[in-house]
Amino acid sequence: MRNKFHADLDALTGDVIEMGNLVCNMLDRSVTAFANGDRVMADWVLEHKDEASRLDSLIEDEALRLLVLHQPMAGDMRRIATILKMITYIERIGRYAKNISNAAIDLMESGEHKPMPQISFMGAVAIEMVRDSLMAFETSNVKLVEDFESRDDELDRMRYDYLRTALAEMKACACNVDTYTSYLMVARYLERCGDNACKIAEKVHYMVTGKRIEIR
Amino acid sequence: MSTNLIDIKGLNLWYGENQALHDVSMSVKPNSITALIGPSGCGKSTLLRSINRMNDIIAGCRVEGEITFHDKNILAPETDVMALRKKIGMIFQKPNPFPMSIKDNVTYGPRLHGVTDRESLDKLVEECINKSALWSEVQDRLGASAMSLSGGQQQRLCIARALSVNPEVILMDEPTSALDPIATNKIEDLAQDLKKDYTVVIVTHNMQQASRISDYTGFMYMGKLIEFDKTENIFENPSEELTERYITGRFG
Repeated sequence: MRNKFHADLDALTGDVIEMGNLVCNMLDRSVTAFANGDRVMADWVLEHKDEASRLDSLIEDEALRLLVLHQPMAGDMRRIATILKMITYIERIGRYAKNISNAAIDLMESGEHKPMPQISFMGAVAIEMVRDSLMAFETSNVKLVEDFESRDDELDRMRYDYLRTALAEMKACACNVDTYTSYLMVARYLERCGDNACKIAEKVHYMVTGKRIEIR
Repeated sequence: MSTNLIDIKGLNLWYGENQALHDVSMSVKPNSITALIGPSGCGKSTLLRSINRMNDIIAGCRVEGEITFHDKNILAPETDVMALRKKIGMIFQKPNPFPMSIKDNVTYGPRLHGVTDRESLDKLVEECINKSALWSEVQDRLGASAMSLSGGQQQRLCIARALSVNPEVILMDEPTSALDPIATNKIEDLAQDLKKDYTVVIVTHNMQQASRISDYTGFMYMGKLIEFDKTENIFENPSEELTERYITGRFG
């Protein structure tokens, strides 16, 4: 019976990785859509948002089923507890990807889209954090998330830089307000994606070591 | 002076040539529940039975090391074993009431120790059966045979019998393994109540039971105490790989 449980737990872990990869792709494409004005990428993200929600519900149901039927302990319990928290963070990152895609589409449709390479730089940092947090989960390797505090600081710093740039542009011409408001919102979404990657990293650290940490 | 009620230090035990316990050291804190878990034959019952020297009755049993109770080594030859077992009572896997009335089961021990006053004995019967959460079920039939009770009731009567001689420690050797889930719940609730006045050490095969009721847990394997810690640490984040493998069912 325990073998069946561990097989089910491995399958559940696989589902979380699948959900994580999907959301990573959504975030990656939403950033490309916004930075380059790529409508195809934006549409792809919107087409897949329901799949992330479906996996969220499916994983939650299966995790609760394993808890109820097997009363797992120690490392098994920590893995399931981590999964239940992680999927919320992953799902939120998926929602940010959807919001970024919507912002990209709004700008493209209003004809006010401008290439925004800075968003690509910020997006790259956020996406790498999300990928590394998921890889840490998949491989139980907490070394991958050891520098998350400094990476998160870097994201915060980038957002403040963009804020200053955006304010300057908006002051220069009211015609820039719509564009740079979107720009600031997307920077905020990416910063929040980094925060959610940090939350995933904290939970993975607990899963692997049994010790709780806080990434500030 | 130790804050522990019982200190086991370097305990080795042999049944003939076969060594059943290897250098076991652990402590039992007063008014706590300590659980011993581990696979069959790991030595947990042997360790439990060492605490009130029940192993003495097994031919060929030899013990080395020290078990202090109130800072006195109970393994010393001069220990009054009867007095020790009065202070450290035991509950077994299978309920074993005496084939006599419910009331006489409880008064048997005190009578043996010289209590004859009827009023005192009646008071003691009510007190002990109350403490063992059985009073409401048997108060109107104290003269009935103990054998007429259900398995769960018999086990609680055995606990009342153990309490009747005013022990400090109650050792329980798989006390619920012969009981249904409802009777098991009652014994588990009872163990929680008992720790206000007594110290409980329980051997159990049921890990959920250990995690539900105990404050400290020891995991034993092949006669060794592999890990001893607060129960939440053992079941959430054990230090030893062997403990982790056992409690997550990856053993063997």
